[in-house]
Amino acid sequence: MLTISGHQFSSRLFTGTGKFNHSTTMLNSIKESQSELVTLAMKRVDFNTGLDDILAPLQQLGVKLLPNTAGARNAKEAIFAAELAHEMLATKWIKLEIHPDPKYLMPDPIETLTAAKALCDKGFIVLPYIHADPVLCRKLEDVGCAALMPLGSPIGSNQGLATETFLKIIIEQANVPVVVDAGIGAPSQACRAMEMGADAVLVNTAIASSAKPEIMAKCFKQAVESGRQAYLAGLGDVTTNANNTSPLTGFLNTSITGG
Amino acid sequence: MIQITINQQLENINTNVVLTELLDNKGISHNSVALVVNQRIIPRSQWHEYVCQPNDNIEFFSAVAGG
Repeated sequence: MLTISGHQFSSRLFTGTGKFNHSTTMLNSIKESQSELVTLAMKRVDFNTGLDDILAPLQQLGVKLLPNTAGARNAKEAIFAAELAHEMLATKWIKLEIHPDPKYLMPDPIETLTAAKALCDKGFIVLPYIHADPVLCRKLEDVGCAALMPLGSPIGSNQGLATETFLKIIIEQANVPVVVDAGIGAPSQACRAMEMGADAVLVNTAIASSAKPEIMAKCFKQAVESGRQAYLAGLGDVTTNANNTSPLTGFLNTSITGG
Repeated sequence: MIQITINQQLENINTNVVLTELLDNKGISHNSVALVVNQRIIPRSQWHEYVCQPNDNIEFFSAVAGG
């Protein structure tokens, strides 16, 4: 079981709710993924289009909600967004994300650390979305973050684990769960993250943008489970030279010359 | 009548209207939103007693899909 801030999760696959063509597809995909933690965003109500009917069906599914601070450009805005989420959803859990640059959505490490400290001091359960920076991760852990969410590659890019080398260092050093977030584009990449020892992965675009999201959600579920089992079983060493898996006794040579 | 701003739109409303009435007038479920008045979050427990003032800047926020 994965435990974050005292809350236990059977599934190590977290999912986002964005980018689905239809809310029914989103809900069915979450069911197929068996994810128990799903992310949400917040925005001003548009009275012309009305409210999204997203909240009630998610609550009926029984999943834990993880609101994010997307749209915040600095620590002050992110802290405000977290307090808004607390008021709206009655949860202290917050995915802290501060990315002022709309092109690459790179998280701002300085503002994130500032906001993380303030929110942890206010009693929030903070899961910061950050670059795969091992030094920053240690500092975020020091200020009390409940988990770390380093990116594999830019949000929604489906580029996979471009930061693999640094994710390994983060995983090795962390004393809180590491959730690889952003950029995971295929089940094999989620599996790889889990094989490396990540505690969980968060997937959104790869499922939502598939031609068959429900099937893709199930594929990710299986990949995450497989990767976790492989990590626990222990991967073999990677070597430069070949190491024979069959006995090299040369018996064929004997047989040929003897004939 | 007083004039207030709701989600960046000017609106004229009756005097002595509280936030819960504003929500009801808009047909918005109380369970699914957070309210901000003049950049300050108003806790749900105070919605029924906060009387809208002239020139109040009121913002309704809701949960939406996101990653």
